[in-house]
Amino acid sequence: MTVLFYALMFMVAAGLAHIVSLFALADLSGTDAHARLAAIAPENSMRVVGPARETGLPFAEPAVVLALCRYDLSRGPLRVAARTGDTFVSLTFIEPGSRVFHGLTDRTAAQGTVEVVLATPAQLRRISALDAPDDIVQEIRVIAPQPHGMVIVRALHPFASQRGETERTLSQATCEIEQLPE
Amino acid sequence: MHGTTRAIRPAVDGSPVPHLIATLITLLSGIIAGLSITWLTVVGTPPTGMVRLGVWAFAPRVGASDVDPYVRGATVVRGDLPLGIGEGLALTAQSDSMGDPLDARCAYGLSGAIPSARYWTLARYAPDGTVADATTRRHAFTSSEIVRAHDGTFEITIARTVQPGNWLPLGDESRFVLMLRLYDTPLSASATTLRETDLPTISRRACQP
Repeated sequence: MTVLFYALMFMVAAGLAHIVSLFALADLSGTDAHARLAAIAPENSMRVVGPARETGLPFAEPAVVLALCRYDLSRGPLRVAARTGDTFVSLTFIEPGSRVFHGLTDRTAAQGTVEVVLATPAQLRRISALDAPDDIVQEIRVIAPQPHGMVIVRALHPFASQRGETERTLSQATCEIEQLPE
Repeated sequence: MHGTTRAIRPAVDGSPVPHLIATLITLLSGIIAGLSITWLTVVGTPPTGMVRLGVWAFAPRVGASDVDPYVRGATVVRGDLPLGIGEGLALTAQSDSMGDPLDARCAYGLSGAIPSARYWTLARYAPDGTVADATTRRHAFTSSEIVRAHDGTFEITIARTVQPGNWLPLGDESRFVLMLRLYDTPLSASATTLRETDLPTISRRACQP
């Protein structure tokens, strides 16, 4: 009986410690991509960092150049726009702790630009209320699960010689807070 | 606490009651065991959320908000940036088609099918994800750079010594891993439809002593 009791107690303690630590890991470790990139990403503006390996992240894709934008939606929604070129451009949206909550490619581009408005649920309701009834919404609207996070723009250069051109295309990407009318 | 413990001591069947110190030791060792399990599951291959097809392993939901907690833990500890589910899919190979770990002293041939994607890239890394000689030596191919045969098939030779055709040179590390990334692939949303025959094989050739 006693052995069984202690065994049960051991298993419950081990199970709880395992589950709690597994879920706390992402927020406490500080080793994840968001934590590492936060140091070099400007807030509410876009910065081209060049080849992915220059970020120091492991398993960096050699054929991709990156641009980063750390955001804080407390003052308003964020408008992200990236010019697309001849090759592949994609946007990754991550939360602190590096959970990817949205990712899209240049297939969603309209007139050569991928345009995304990132907003909190409250801001998005306000934006939708401001839409004129017969407006065609061009941009893609994404709900941010929390007010902080990061946008990563990846641009692929199929040939190494296209890197400069790809970086120039990427340098036109923007990331700006928009003021909603009162 | 002791008072309560003593009060319930005269159990009917005479079995000893839980002691405070024994309880503490049990709880503490349980917590240590739980933390160790967490550590072991996130530094290695995640026990759940992974799909294995031949030599290739991948986590279909790594770029989604409903990512498996073990996959997410492993991603956080490694620190790499996953591709979003709508962007593409990354597959990793740590062994050849015979099941032996990839050894930089050997030459390997990678051939076969590649799932449909707008672009794909194949890169080699040390097992920790670094590339020691990234600026001096090629360590990746993109789908545009590949030289193909007349029928559209191709082979990439991965070796330390110079090879004809698509040669992916190996560095000085002893072990290496390969990563196949598929950009803009219809698979990324439903990776369950992928079969082993849709992916390339890695066969070992000669090895240096």
